[in-house]
Amino acid sequence: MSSPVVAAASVSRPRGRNAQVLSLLRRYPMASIGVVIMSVYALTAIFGPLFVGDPLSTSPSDALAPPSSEHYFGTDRFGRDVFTRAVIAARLDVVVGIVIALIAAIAGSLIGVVAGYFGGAFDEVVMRVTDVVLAFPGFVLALILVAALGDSIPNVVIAVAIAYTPYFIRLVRARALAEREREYVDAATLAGNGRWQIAFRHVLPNSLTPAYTQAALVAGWAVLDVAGLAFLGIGIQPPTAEWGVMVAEGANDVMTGAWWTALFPGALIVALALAFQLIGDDLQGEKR
Amino acid sequence: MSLLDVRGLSVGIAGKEELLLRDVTLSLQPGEIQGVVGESGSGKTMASLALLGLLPPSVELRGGTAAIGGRTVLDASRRGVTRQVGDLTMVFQNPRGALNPTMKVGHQVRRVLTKVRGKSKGEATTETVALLRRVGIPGAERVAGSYPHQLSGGMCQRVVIAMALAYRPRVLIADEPTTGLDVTVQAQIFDLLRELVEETNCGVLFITHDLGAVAEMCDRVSVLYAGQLMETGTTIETFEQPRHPYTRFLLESLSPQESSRLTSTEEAGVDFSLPGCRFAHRCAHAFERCSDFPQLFQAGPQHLYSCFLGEEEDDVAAQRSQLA
Repeated sequence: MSSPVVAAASVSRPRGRNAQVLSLLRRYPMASIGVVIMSVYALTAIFGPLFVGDPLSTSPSDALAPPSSEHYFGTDRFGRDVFTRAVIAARLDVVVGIVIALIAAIAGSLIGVVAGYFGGAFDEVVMRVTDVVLAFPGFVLALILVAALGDSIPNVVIAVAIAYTPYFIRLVRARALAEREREYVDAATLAGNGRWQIAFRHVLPNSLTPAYTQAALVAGWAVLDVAGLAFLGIGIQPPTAEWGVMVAEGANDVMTGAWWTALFPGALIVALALAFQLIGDDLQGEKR
Repeated sequence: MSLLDVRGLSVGIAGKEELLLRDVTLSLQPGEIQGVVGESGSGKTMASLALLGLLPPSVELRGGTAAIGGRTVLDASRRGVTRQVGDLTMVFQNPRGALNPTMKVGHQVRRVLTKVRGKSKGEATTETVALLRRVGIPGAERVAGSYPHQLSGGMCQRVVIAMALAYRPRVLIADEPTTGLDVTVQAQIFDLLRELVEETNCGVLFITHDLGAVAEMCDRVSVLYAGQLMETGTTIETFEQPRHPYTRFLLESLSPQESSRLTSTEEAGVDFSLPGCRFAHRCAHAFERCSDFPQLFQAGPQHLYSCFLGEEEDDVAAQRSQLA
């Protein structure tokens, strides 16, 4: 059995771990930067709260103190430590961004694959609804929805997720339309699989590639949206430690020279959104 | 009684007159490998998709019946006739396309065993490895845990054949199973198909345009052109005494000395809505009767052809013998 055919047909062997990491870095340089930034955020979100105090404790005598070795990011007008609040907020903002992306990706993919694989009236209705939803700018739609649902973190998450679901529906549907024509789908039909089994076990896993990269992008946009909504006073409310809320509160003090109250949380929002964007962009550039 | 019996199968594009398959008749005996040959676009694949009930939505069944072991599996006049799982399966042209890229190949074989043959998970896992070994895959356990993109084309085709073995169909349609594989692998795949037939006594429709492969593999051969069955008979009879001008052309095109080059169907173009013989406009022997659709004429116990010319020739021969 050692014919050349057999040798050529052997399974590719996994390489050493270091070599793999290096080749990943080479292939996705931007995403690698994004991943490094993301890891800092993730570590902060997980372990940060262990090292800082109460984000709500005020100390009027220390109000609006500039950054120093005691208050790394200074204090706000109530004398709350901006660094403490920024670290505490990391958990909320990162989790909210990822959860929104996950909800939108899962709901959108499931709806998209059913629409794409089965077609027909359901597909028609879904497409028209996504048309309507996409006609609104996502931020404005989320704003309206939160206003209607009421201010709470779960409502913000649901509202922003709804605004982004159509993107996933369209991506996965388009891919499912192509995948359902492939031969393995016919082969699965012959093997006695039902239509739903084919839709979810065969077509769905093969239609998800564009959704993965989109999810990274959407997570970044979602962080911006949530912070933006909070900045406008909708959704997450003060005194919750959240970057958008902090920027909104600090914005009043910038005029008086206390730039640190708004700048640091603002920069944290930008860097996180940028990290998601870098990851998503680089993976998307690689193409499906 | 034949294992597979297809009568008058006609298939057309929805909303149009043209027939992509016109009145195609096939029969297949248990344990027989029958070649189905023809150029690209001659309807070979369309015929198999029709049998499998996998016609694309833009194509519709216009007429005909098909029965497997005497039980009707397809009837154009009655919708909803269903085949039983296990009757019929297909080895697809493109092995990579026929495997789900996101599922380990072992799992795909195992699913056939559990779904079609009703095996338990444990049995199926053992048998999967045994099947993969059967089709000549070295390191079957390891390969079972691989994804299709990690395997070569030849390996993928073996996996697909293993799935067909797992299926144990009564009729297997092999649609150009060796296209894109090198000759050594091709020979191994042929051997596997033969073994499958010997072991399960199933019938195989072997779709190809490789006449060499037909001569090597097939007991009988059916020649299709532009959706019309031109000639069918035992491989020896058909190749040595072709009765249809198209079959002769096809065979002549193999010999290098042949000067009269046959233009390809794409160059010549085929009008699928014409009522007469589909080959008439390219046939050197065409005469007035060819504007009618020729039914099948008998040239031997198993040898049928679709051409008026043979009848004329027979008449001429009969006259000659009378004169003599």
